[in-house]
Amino acid sequence: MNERPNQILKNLVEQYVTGEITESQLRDQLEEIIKKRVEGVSKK
Amino acid sequence: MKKSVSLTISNIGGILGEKQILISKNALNVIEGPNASGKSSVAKGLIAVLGIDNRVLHPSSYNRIWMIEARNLGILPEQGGHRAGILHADAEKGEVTLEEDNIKRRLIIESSGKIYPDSNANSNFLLVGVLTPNSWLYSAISRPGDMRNESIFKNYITKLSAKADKYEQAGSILQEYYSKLHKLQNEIKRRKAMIPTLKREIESLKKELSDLRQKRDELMAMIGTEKEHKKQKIAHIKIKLEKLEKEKDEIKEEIRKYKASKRSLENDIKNLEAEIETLSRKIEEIQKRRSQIEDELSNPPDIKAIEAEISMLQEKRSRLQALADLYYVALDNIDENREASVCPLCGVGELNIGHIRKHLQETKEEISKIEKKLRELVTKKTQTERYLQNLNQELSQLEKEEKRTRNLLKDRKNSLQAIRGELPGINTELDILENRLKKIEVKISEYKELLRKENPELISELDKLSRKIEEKEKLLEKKQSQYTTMGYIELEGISLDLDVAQRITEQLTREFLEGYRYSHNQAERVRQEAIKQFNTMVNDVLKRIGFSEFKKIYLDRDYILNVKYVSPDGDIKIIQPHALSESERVAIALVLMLALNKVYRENIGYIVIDNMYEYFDQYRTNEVLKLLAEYARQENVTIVLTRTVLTEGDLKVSILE
Repeated sequence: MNERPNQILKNLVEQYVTGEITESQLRDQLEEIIKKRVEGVSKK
Repeated sequence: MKKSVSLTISNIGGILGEKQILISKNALNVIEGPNASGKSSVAKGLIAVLGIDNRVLHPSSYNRIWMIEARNLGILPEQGGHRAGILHADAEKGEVTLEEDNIKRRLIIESSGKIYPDSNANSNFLLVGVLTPNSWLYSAISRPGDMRNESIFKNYITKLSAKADKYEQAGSILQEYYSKLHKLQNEIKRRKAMIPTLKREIESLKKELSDLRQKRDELMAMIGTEKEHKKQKIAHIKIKLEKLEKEKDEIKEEIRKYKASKRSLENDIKNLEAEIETLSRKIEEIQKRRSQIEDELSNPPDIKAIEAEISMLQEKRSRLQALADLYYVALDNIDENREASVCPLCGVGELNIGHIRKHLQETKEEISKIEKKLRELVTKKTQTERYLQNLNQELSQLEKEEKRTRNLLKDRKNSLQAIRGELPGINTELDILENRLKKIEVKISEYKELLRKENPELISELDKLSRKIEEKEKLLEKKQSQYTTMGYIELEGISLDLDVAQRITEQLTREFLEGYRYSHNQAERVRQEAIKQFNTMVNDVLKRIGFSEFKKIYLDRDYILNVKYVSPDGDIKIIQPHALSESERVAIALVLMLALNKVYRENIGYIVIDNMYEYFDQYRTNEVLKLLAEYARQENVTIVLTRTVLTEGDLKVSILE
């Protein structure tokens, strides 16, 4: 699924608010977003 | 017959020893007694056992409102020890026990300050279920300025509204990341700004070196021009020396090139090692999560049992609906003039319209309970199914991710091996070159020694120049090495070109800022919705207890509590609540508490009002009591009021219908 980056963050916030993910899972996901983006440009 | 709960307090407040009182569930209870008979101690004991939990005793730095309120209410000792809390001054240990149905809540408090709360206690009760002259609600209405201006209602509405609170928490996490990225962006800018300076320094060093070398050559040309017989000897040494110096410069240049490529290889190795470590860690994490999910999936929640319960309840509901229909038919057809007979259903009451209505009402209540339970079960089922589906999805994604990561890891390990293979060759070459350089330097100094004998002053000048050249060469090498690494920055263990890093951090900073703003706005939206609900409820109830129809109480968009006064002539004036009469302020505090209680009460079911009775005249007292009794019945809340009476005697509890 090709979600826009801002939509991904909004979805994560909503998931955190409804309790689907915990604070540490939210942090993991945020780290993952940054990491994937860096990996993405380093391979180009 | 109403159900009772038993409250036992021991060594609490002014009561030394044990005292037990019975309170009726979901009713308005009034504890009456003369001054100093222990009414407030009973009330405080009840507040403590219901409201002191770990959030009160060990609040996070993020949220300390419960602890502050417990101190305001005097159930926790004040900081600095001005007020003692609820333990009796002469006791070592006090205890409060509240027993209802199968739940027994128990709080123990020791003179050492140690408190053992009950696991069922809920600190939100302190904010939505307690009204005393010391509670925050009454203070917020009665004190001009200080508390109101801090938007205390915003604070409480946010804290009590779990959703707004969660949005704010998500917002602060995003803001944390935003700040980190912003700092990184500044670091990138700083490095970028340094590059041109470094480039200029290198250029100027190169120029200086070339000038120095030229000067050295000129000096060499001047050596040994005095005597003819010396001239030839010196010319011979000079040629040798020039050749050696040239050779030395060439070797040095070659060494520099080898060192630069060695550094670049070492940099690659470091990056690859970091990436390999990250990838290995990622594989470990994936495996850990996979095994967690597999464990959970091997023992999934029992959906069949939930479905069975749903269908059992649906069947029960249909039976009850049929019964209710039957009652309606009976009501339409019953002959009021018929001979009295006993109800065939319950076998105790007389069969008449009132009796059937009672049965009908009971059946309807039963149906509504079943429907509530059914809604809960359907939600639980949907959530469980969604949870299992999510787990399966996550598992398959993890499998794909693991495969991809393993391939990547293999690829990186191969690259690392290849690069490491190149290093020994370079090291050997460097060793050879450095040995050659040493030999040449020895020879140069031998020739220089020869020259020194022939021409001492010039040679000493030449030596000075050579030392200077060496210093500058070292500096140049250092700057050049800095220049090579300066153009990169490490992000997530990967070395990135500054321009690329700047682009990516700018994008991420923008996105995280937007995410933060989104969370913050959502929190605000939830709060505003709560305010709307809150205001409607407050004014509906105030109207019922005969509050002046010319004064409308509302929380405004900035969470400030205002009174809008509309005069009979239609003039509008905004007044602050502390300007109202004491009786009006107590009425407002009471209504605000009921509104907050209704909106934010979860698993509490109690309200305690201490010392509020005497503020109202007879008319308003009756209206307030009616309202509270009705609230207790309709919302299934047990309300406990304290009231001072002039007659002597022990505490007495009565129920007001």
